[in-house]
Amino acid sequence: MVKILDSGKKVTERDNNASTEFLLLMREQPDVSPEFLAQLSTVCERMLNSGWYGESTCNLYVTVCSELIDHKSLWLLIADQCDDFAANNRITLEYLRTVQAFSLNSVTSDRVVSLISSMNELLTGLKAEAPASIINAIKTASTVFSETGTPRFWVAATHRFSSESTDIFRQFLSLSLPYLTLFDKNRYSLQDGDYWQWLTTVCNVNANVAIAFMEAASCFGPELPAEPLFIDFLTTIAADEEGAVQLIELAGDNWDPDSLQKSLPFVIRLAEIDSESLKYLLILTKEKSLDLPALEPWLNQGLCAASDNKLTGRAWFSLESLNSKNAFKLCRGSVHLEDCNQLLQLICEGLGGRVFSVAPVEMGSWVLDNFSESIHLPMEVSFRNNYEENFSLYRLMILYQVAFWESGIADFINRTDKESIASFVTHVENRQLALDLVNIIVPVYIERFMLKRYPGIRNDLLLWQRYYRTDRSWTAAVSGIDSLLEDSLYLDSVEFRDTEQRNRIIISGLSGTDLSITDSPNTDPPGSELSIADRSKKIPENEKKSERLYSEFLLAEISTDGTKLVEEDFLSILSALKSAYLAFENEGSAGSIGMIFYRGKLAIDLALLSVRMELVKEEVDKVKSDDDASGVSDLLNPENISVEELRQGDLDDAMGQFLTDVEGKLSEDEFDDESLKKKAEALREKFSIEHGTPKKQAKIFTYDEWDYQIRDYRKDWCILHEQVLESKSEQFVAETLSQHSDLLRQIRKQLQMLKPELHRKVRGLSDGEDIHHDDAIEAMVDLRSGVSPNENIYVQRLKAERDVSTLFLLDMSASTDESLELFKAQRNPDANLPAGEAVPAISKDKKEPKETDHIDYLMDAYDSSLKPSKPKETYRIIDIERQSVVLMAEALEELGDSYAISGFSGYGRDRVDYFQCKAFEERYDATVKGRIEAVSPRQSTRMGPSIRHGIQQLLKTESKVKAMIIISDGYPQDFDYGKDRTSKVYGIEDTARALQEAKREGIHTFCLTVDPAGHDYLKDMCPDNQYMIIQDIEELPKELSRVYSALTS
Amino acid sequence: MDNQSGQGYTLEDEPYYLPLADEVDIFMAAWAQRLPVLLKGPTGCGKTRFVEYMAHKIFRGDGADEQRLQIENPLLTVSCHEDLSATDLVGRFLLQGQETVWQDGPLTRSVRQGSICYLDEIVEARKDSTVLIHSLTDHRRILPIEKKADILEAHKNFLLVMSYNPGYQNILKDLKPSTRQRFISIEFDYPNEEEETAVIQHESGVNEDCARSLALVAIKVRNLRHHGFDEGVSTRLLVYAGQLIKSGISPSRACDVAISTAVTDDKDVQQAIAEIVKTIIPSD
Repeated sequence: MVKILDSGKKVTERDNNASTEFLLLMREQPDVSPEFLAQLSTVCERMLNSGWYGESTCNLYVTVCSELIDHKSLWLLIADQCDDFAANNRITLEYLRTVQAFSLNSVTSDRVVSLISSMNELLTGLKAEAPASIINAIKTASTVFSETGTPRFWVAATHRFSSESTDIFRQFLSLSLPYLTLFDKNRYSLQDGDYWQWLTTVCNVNANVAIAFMEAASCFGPELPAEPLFIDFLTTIAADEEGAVQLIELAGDNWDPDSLQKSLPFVIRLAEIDSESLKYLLILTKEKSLDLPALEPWLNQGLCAASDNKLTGRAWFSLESLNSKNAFKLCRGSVHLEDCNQLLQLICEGLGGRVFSVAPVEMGSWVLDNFSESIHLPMEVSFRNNYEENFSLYRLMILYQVAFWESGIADFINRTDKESIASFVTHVENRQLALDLVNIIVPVYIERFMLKRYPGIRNDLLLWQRYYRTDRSWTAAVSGIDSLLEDSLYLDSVEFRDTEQRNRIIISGLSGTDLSITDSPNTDPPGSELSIADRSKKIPENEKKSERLYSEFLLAEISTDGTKLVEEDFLSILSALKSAYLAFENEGSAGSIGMIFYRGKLAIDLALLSVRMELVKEEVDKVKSDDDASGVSDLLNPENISVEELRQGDLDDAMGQFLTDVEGKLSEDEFDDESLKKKAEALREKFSIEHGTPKKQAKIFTYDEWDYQIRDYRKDWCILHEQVLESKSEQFVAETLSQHSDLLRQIRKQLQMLKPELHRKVRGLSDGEDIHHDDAIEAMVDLRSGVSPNENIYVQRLKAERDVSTLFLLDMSASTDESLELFKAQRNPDANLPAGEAVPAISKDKKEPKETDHIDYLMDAYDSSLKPSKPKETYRIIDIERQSVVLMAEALEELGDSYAISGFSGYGRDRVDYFQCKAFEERYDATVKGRIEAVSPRQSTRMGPSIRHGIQQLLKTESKVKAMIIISDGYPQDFDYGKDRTSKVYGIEDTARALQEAKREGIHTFCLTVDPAGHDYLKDMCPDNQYMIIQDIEELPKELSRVYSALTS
Repeated sequence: MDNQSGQGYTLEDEPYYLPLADEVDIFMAAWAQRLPVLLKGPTGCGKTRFVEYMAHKIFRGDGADEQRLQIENPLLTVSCHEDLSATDLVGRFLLQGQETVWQDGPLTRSVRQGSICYLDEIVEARKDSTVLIHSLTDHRRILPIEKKADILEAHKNFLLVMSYNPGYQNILKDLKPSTRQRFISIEFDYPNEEEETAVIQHESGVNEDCARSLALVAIKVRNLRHHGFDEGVSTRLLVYAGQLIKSGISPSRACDVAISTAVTDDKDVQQAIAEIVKTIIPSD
């Protein structure tokens, strides 16, 4: 036992050297009062008694105090803190260690003081927390404090977060340091406190969101959180936790902080209106790497749409609606091949003089076609920010390829004689170099031809040359070939003619300064250290070489006879190639030089192959003519056959041969929309059993669909398969005619009344070929009696024509399989009910196949149609439909009107079936009659796309009067006709819209239905109430003819 | 071509015409024998101008005798259309005041006075008018006038010339062989680039370069003729374009109004033409 104090107070029973020594030391200090000392020893004693780690705690305390020898006032504070946590030594130890670290690492003593007080502050707020959390907090604090200048803000935030769940608190602590690294105090004059305060604000709304934000914070960059709007944004969206977390993640991933900042006001407004839409927008931004500030008009329109109707907004920002797509394309100014395909084909045909196929290429390398079969164009151009300039690339590329053939250069490339490129390339050492040079020099000539013959292309050419020139990195050390390529992009530019000026440009490029142009090479331009002459000495050899080549050959004029290049020009191309080769042959292989996209790559494989074949043939001939047989044995001697003979690029050529072939094929086939093809394939697989599989390939069309909820079209929403039905026997037709001969006669009579006479005399004209006697007499009488006579006394024969085309659309849905009996039976008991009260919906719904049932259903339907024709009582609706059409057809044949018969059904929007029985121009022959036999019930009733397809077919006829008669048995229905499967509204709205489109195109439509409940929806669906409900289904044929007459006269 | 006297086309000045082949010689030879001539070719390629030129040559040129020089209107043109009937060509009775007067049609007038009657686009006319031609074009050279119950013998200087555009053929509107084979046929087509340049230059007054680019535009646009304007663009339109340019309209705009909107209504085709013009004529 060591007696410490004079006062006789014993400190402790236990042995503790460190604290003893310390206290002894303190006793010696002059500024230590006895009271202080007493307090100290009390502290030490308490610590020693505090538990298992009491001793080490005390030791540590003592060490700390010795380090803080200048801050004795702190000692007690520290001790108090330790007291607070006396229950748990680990906390105390951690605390003390941290304090020690502070004192060791801090530069100024003030700093130490502030750190410790911050720490104390922190701990004061955390007293109620779990020990683990507290320790965690202390650890974090020590790192955080060392990073930040004013830790108290963080402390305040810590306090706030500590009141949340343990999990959140832990996350907060672990994210604190990364979050902190956002604040680069040197760049931003912000207070650290701001960041933490904002975080706290968000936490007040929702802690999880705050945490999510901290996690994503690094993606947002340091400026963004400084933006007050951003915090508004966070607080707004924080209300919906899940959505907010998602949004923050998405935003962090997809948005670069600059553009986010610029579009922040917009984002906030959108978030307020509908955060779903914002999500779609973010996903879209990532997918297409959008530059949002540039898309302002589109964004604003979308905002209006969303505030009007959330669904519209969502469709807008996921680019599903038609308006959205159009506005988007307009904004971006980008040009898409698929949109102007027709136009581009016309341009190709006009410029090229023949019909070309347009071969779409991705960005990258493409091969220039030597045999003028197709023109290669990129799928999309969006390099520039406006439509005009982007489109000009298409114009340039089309003209470039046309010029390639027109000038005769294509033929020149294919030549294999002695004075040809192929032969030159074959005979040189460095084949790769030669090929590269071909791709630099020949385009120059093509471009010069273009300029001469088509002077209008000059601006476009300059624009894109400049673009590709500046697109490449222009470094000081440039390989020779690259510099030559660079030169080739200065074609005909005034800048380049003057080599002196060119040097200046090179130099300024190299040094990054903009030198003013002076005439004398020896005066120093202001701001430069060397004179231009000196500098030009420093230009790498390569530039000099290429410059020389350039001025010798490439700037020389070409002489054309107006429409193509002459032999002289071809020879000069060849000599340019040769000189270039000589100039650069010691460079070694250039590797692959950059490709200038609009020029493509020239392919001389075929020519090379032929040349080589020639050579081989020559060799063989030589051997043959050699009497000395040793020649042959020489050849056959394996020693003489060495692999060295394989030239660089040989294998490439062999492969190249394949690739060009395949490329050519591929590019033609791939013209259809990729996704369409994939969908069609998938569907074909899914429907393994086809009902009456059509033998011919179906033609595929896409149609928009009207979504009444978003009040806009869904572009290319439906895929329609137009097929021709397989022709069966004529039995049905024959039967119908024999059974209904009376009806047929009636119909014929009715329609014949529509037939006009070929010429009719019109009288009472002011001019005509003859005088009408009666009128003339009248006139004379009038004259004699003093009344002024009518001068219109002439007569003329005018032609009257009947120019009608009608399309009969038959509903081939599953419900038409309903037998007449059943239908009547169902109908009759309800005959007295007002319309709208159901015919029990059983028949329809029952027949409507569920996705899983469709195969069974198909089998049933298939079987049923194979049964022989039934007696009258068991006729089905579809049979009646067919009969009516047969009778009409017979009658129409006599009348001479043009008509077509088609049926529609389908399943889902990806497979709308359109079955053609008779096209307009087809004759009503055995094949067509057989097809009518094959009309049978199928699946759903998606009327919209079928009507739209019908419109297209009618428009093609160019008749004066166009009519569409739809024969159906119920309302439009399909499993995905509208998001809500049980609701009919979507289908009815879309069909109504389609009928309106027909009306707009001048087509008269008429819906004939047998559904007694038809009034409900047909009133709204058909424009001008052009519909009729057939009470008695057997009246259908008669009604049909009456309707026809009405429509077409 | 002074019209002020109200007497119609008098052909005082020689019209400009650039012969493309031997058509002038052939026509003169036909004239010598008074053989009827059928001119075939697309619209605006110079048929009418050719006839004027020949009319001038025959009736006002060096070889013209007194009788011919005296004829006021050596060339009577009738533009035929669907409703053109025999009465329109031959003549009809009209009520004038108290009297019924016979009015000669242009064909009758021509036959009577001895000048060239030019029926433009004869296929369009009604069948009863083409039948009239038969009697005029064989060795008889007579024109029956039913209404007057008269038979008119042709003047010795009368010549019948028709034009016909093969591009408009369809089954309903075509010349019967019996009609066709009464005429010798001269085929016309648009001139080649050089010739067209010269024509445009002369007719519109633009410089050679401009004329040349217009000619090149025409060649390219004609490649598109199957897209709804079967004839391609006529030389006439090119001349119009040139004239517009001469009056100060920018070349691209002149091509716009004189070519693309003139030949087609299809927006795509119009735009395609505009693009083609852009590649040939530098925009200012």
